[in-house]
Amino acid sequence: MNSEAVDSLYITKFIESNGLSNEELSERYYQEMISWLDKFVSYFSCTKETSSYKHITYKRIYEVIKPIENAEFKIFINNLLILNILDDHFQACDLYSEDIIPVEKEWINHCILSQSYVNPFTEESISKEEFSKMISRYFSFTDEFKEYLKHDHS
Amino acid sequence: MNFDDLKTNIVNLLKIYRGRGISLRNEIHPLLSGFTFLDRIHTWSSLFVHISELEEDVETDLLTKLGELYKKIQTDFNQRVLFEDKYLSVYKGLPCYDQLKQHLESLVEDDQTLDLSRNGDFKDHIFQAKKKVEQKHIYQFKIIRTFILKENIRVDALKSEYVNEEYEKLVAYKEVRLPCFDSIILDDDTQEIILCADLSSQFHEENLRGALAKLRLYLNQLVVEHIPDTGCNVFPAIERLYYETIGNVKNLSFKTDDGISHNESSRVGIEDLRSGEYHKGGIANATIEPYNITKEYNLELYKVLVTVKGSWHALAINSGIPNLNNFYVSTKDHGSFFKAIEEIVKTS
Repeated sequence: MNSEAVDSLYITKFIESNGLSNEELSERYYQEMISWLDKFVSYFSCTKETSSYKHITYKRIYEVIKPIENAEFKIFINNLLILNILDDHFQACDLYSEDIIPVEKEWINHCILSQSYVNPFTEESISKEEFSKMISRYFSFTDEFKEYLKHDHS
Repeated sequence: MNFDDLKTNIVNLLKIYRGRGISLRNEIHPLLSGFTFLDRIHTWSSLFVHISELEEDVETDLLTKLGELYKKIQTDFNQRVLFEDKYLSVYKGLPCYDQLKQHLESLVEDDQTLDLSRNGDFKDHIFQAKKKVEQKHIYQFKIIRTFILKENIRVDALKSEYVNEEYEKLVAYKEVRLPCFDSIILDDDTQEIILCADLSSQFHEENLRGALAKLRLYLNQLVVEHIPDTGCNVFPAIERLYYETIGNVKNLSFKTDDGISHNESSRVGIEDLRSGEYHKGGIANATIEPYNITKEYNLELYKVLVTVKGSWHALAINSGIPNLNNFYVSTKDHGSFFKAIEEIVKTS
């Protein structure tokens, strides 16, 4: 991984979006977030791998920036969404047949807000726990980030 | 043992082999070699008939020869059920290790041997035999598991009053009872506790998980500090096995970044699917995340088969660390068995 080869566009964006002062910037928490962000952007800027980046798992992101604690990992993912690096999407997995289907964010929001959890395969009521086992989130790279990756980082 | 008992025991033991899905051609014929034409019989049913119809007086020393054959098959079987076709869970660093070992040791009697009869009412785990290999103590249990087998039957097998020429196909379901040899292994070197469910290729994974859960329940009755539901995480081994050059990848499921699940199996004609044209072309143009792998290692005398079977769903876990606690190993000797386990759990 060669972070020096990559410009600091997203680090600047991160500082701006959080309105960080120089003092805050020196805090360990923000320093760590910036280093993970740098690691993430640098990896995908420099990698030779070929990918459409349409379906990115938590695992794939974790593998690039590890080690990171779980709570911070979730915050880091949120930062990637705020910075318009990632878009998020949802899928449902039938735990018996391993069938996978996409589910709309609005439908999930509706279930959560109304606290009426539905099995998207059978369309029967299920518990919140069963619902959260079935539904998972995945990500895609935004067009903006894909464009950024194409530019010359040398 | 008299002549008739010997014949019955041999046939019963061979029926267990058949139930385990062992190949008559590749595995049993070599055992029968040198014995009156038995190694030239090509179906299980004729082999059983032929053995049952053997007469003591047709050949001199037939009783002795048959006794030797039984010993040979029994030795092969005892070795085979220790390491073949297993579904495993490994636990590291559990505080109950010493207590558990003490309990299991107290159940040992020196002359205990495995009950190799086909049946028996083994509703609960009954301690049967113990083997010690280097620093590893293997405690074996026999348990009868049943499964439902679907068989196609011919219309003319029906009684005449039920025959209907319009039947296109007839199927029958029957309950099959299979003796399984589950085991608990304690490794004094690493302090690992390994639970093994037998006949992993014959049963659905759900049944195998149930078998391991039963073993755990049994052990939890013996110790104060319980064995947890989940063992070592073996998911990281999937990627490692994929990138490790030795061995042949026989089956692989993986995901690509466009949200497609791929499954490849090497069937006939190529040993390792990684050298397949489609696979090479694919990985040159996409990034893959393997989540299910079966590898075969060709040793001098036999093959070792290892399967670590994760799922697409496991990749989606929001911690970024997929979790999988069970895996499959099938081999024929302790060296390769424990080496395979060591390799799979080493990064967990």
